[in-house]
Amino acid sequence: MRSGRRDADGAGTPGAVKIVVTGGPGVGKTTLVGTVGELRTLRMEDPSTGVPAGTTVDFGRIAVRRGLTACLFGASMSGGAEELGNELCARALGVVVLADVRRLGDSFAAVDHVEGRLPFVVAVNCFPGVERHAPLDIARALDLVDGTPVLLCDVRDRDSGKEVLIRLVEHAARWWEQAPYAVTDVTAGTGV
Amino acid sequence: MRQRDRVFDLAAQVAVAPGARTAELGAGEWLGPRHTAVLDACRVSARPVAELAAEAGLTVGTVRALLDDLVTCGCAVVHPPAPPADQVGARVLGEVIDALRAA
Repeated sequence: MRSGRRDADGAGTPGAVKIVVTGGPGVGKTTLVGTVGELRTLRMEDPSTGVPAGTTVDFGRIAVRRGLTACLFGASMSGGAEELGNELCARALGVVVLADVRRLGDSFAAVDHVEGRLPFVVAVNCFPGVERHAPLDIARALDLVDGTPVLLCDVRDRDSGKEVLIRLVEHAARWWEQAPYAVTDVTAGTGV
Repeated sequence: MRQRDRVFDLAAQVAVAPGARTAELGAGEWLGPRHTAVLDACRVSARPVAELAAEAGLTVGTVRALLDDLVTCGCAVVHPPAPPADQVGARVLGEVIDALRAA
């Protein structure tokens, strides 16, 4: 029920905003979470969600104000980690799909997982010495839906990482305002 | 393994229950030291489930089981994240952007 939740982030009731950072191996997920938030490793094992032992997620938090926290979760969602993806995406505000232009194919799984389900931006981590490509070319190569932001970034740089997250939040704000409410219940998955 | 019907969201905020007699928490026969450690971590302000697990070095499943006990005995309250569409309406996101800029 929407009405019962409306004050969930109002004064007095503690709330959280959930942001997921995903992408292929070695693309900079841990670096992004660590440059923006306080990085910790989260052991995800839980028989009740089916996430197996040995699964870890990068976790970072940003204090917004007393009672409101932004939680960053960084993990790969490819390779059959469906339970993990569902758990991370439940009630998530949006997703950053990190990409490496040398291995754009690694980003397909992440895009497939979130497209149409949650708002997301593609952030191309510009590794030193790698040729730059225009965002429009990357959007075409990934076959993104029109309007999906593609950003160039350097996740080792704090300001660049912050800008990626700010752009995601701005995009998500527009996306959720336009989304039919039914969509949010799909993402509620494991939420209580 | 116990069956649980509550699966607390990773970003759900855990708070010590208002009115809980905190001085006596942990004195019950079945509240163990790990339960009281979780409660102690939330005493100053509410903490996300993920942060409690990461800080204590416990698995998410273990922390959820402890929280399930704490909620059952009335010692803790767990606030799930609001649906994102409601966060947009509540202008929470502007505060998040300001916090990111200031971080």
